[in-house]
Amino acid sequence: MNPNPLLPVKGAVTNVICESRDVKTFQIKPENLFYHLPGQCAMLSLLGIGEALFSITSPPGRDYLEFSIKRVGKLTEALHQLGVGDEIGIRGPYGNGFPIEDLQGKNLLFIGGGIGLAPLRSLVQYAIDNRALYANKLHLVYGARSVEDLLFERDIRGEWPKERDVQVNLSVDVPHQDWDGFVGYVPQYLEQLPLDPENTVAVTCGPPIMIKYVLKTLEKLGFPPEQIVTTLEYKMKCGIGKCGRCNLDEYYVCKDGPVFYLSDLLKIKNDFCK
Amino acid sequence: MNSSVKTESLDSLLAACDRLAGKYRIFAPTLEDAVTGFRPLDAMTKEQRKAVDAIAFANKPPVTSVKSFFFPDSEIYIKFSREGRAVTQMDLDVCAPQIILGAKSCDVRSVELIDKVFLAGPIDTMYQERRQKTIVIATVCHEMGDNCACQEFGVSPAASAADVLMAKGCRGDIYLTPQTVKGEQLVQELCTVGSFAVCASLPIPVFDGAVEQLVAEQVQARMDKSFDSPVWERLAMTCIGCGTCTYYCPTCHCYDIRDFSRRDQGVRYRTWDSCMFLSFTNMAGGHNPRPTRADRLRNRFFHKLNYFVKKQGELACVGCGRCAELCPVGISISSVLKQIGSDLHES
Amino acid sequence: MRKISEALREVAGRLLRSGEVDLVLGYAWSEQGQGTVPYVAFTAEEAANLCFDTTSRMALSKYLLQDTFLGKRVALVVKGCDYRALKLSLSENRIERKHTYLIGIDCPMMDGSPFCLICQHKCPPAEDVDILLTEADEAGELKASSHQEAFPEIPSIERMSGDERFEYWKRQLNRCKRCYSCRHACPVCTCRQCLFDRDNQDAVDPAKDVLAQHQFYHIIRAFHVADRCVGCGQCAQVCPEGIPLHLLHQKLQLELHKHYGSYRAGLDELPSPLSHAHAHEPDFFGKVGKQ
Repeated sequence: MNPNPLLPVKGAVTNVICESRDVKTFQIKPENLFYHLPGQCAMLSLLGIGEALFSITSPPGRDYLEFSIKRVGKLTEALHQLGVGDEIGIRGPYGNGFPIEDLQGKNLLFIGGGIGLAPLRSLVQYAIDNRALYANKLHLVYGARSVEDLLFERDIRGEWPKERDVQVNLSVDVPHQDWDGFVGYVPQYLEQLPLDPENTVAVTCGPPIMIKYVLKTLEKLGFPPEQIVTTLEYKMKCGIGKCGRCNLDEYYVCKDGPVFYLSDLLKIKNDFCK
Repeated sequence: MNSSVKTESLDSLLAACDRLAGKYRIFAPTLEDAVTGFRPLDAMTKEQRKAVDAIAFANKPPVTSVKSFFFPDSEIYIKFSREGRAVTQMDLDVCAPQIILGAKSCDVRSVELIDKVFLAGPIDTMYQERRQKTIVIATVCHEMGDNCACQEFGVSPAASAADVLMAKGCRGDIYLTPQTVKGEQLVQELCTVGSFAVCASLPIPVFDGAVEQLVAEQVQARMDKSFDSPVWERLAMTCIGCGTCTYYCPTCHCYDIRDFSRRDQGVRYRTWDSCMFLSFTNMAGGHNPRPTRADRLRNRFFHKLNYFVKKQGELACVGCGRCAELCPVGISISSVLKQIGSDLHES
Repeated sequence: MRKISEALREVAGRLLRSGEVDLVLGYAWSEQGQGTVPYVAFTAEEAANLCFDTTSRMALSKYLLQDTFLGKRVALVVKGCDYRALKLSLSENRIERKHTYLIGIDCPMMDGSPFCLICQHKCPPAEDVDILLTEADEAGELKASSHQEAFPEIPSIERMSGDERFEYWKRQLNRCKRCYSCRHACPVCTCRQCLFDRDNQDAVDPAKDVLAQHQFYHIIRAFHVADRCVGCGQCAQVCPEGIPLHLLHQKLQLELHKHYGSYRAGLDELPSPLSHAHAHEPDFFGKVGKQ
């Protein structure tokens, strides 16, 4: 008899990193670790409070899974109370993940805003881990509200810039006395950087308003929709394409997404939330 | 195919069912406070038992469909208790074997349609268990009821893939024809506890094909063309946004997952949810991909007449007529089909 | 209802042709052929579909709160009970009177509606509507009745023992599927966000097995609309499971009358009894007034 796909398995919290005042990264070891693709998600569950879908921010190949969680409501508040050794329910992996085969041999332009860097991070790290397949340029443009809100400092300022042919450009919305980088919004920053759509795929995640302007800018720069990848955020409950809630035309965002090529999204009739 | 058995009356069949009550929970359609629905045979009053005949053999289905037997309106799947930071999960009651006595063709077909959702990977094990433990005995309709549109949707009022087909002869004798292995086993069991005789099957009523069947691809294509039609705004003006159509529709399968806890005990359960409610897709922060009633109404009919066709190759409607009968403002799938145009049927 | 229907079509056609209103919201014959249902006419041609009869039960006033009607000039067909509900929305500033053209109907009593037999307010006041349509050549006689006589089904339930009454309501309410038809059809249930739609609140879950949640939903809703109920009877009529919800509302009307005197929602001045408190009212939290 198959296991009930809605039942979470037990996991233990093995590390907690405070990224910013409202974001924490949790390292979780489930009883049975599952393999995932970059961009896939999992349901984190606290019995008595609820479940929600979160992107897995660590790449495959580790013996743990990492989730970066922003404190916005009842469940995330309760998750933030967890410490090392605490139990948590987990089920997954869900979603289609990034098109990692299509991206091989291409220049990759990652554009992230705020917590949107979390799903991108699994892909960036995966590309670095498998550099032979992703030998071309890796370029990250990432912006947050303020210096304090920049996430994954150990990656964006530590490890990643050290790698060969990896460029990291950071921006913040509001100036800070210790900040001498770009001040402004990510779409604005993009216009100032030398970006070439030739053999490049742009992968972008962030708040809807940022995505809207990023897409406009990418269009201006000559990126065709077939070379732009983004993720959609929808209310989800089952995560397995049965409860009917997250449908977008005939697709279920939890199963057929949340990663989509812009060229596919443009064919969709319904309005959607990015 | 095995031959039929017959017994002298419905009462005789029910008496045989009573004798199987130790092994199965048996449900039959009856009246409760003037509303038709399935009730457990062992909890029925004498009047309710008498009413089974008329309702099981009526030419329309009861108000509640058989969906609830496989996909209940509320189903707990985790029970837990908490002590400090330790949480213990408790065992749940296993679903008992059950018999549905007196389902209609439309409802039997509707289960086949939602099978495509729940039994596709990853298999919904709660649904699967109920499916495996349920035996369906279906009755035939001799004519279509007032709101019925079964034939338009390719459902025969007189034939279905139920485990057992039940028909009534002109003298009130009941004929049972098993159609599956499960059905065959049940009929054999009934024969050992009741008075049945092997016989030739009753001829199944023939429907003369006067009703044209809808062609799924044509309906889907017409819906694609009607995406921007003003018909959705128009219908949304009188729709009151309740969940009646979705909850009584035998092919609607949307659900919500919730946790409920008091002090140190709690449950996680799933419960029916309706795409007609604003809160269905409402996200924290106010974002909602279907903010207007017209959006939601259009989405519902697209799911039935377009998306399901694209994904599963079939229309997600069995023409049971419940939406037509129960909608407080008279909107039904038939009225939508009329509005989006003609040339949807086989000629 | 030929006279009313003809007069209605004439008025509606005239209003639409002159452009005085953007649409007429009334009733038309259902495609299912089972009586009339709410209908919107945008043109004089569509106005010919309007009709009114003893199946025109659904309350229409609530539609005016929907996005699709806001900002439009609407001619609205209002029976007596519907007018009272509309008046509540007007006094709560949810709708503007100047955007409405009210076609009052001297209501002939609806088929099968539990409140109609003893309805005291069949006809909206002539001075409050823009035109009043009536079938009779003279106004019908209103039956005067006491509150006790008004709700004949209540005594039989009150005579039940506590256990019997509990079993009765448990049986009825256990059929509830939480379709919320009652809430959506009720013309005075007009909160912008309903308590039961709030996310993540575990006060009243849709779980059936746990702590009788369905029963609580109905009882809470009945209390919330207690001093707003206009007796349209739609709650019971739209319920697909035939639950006699009108009995809950009738019972609360009796209780309200007992403790606060006569108050007619939509007719008497605001504030309503349950939306404010006076020092001299029965103190339910103390010994006085507690039964």
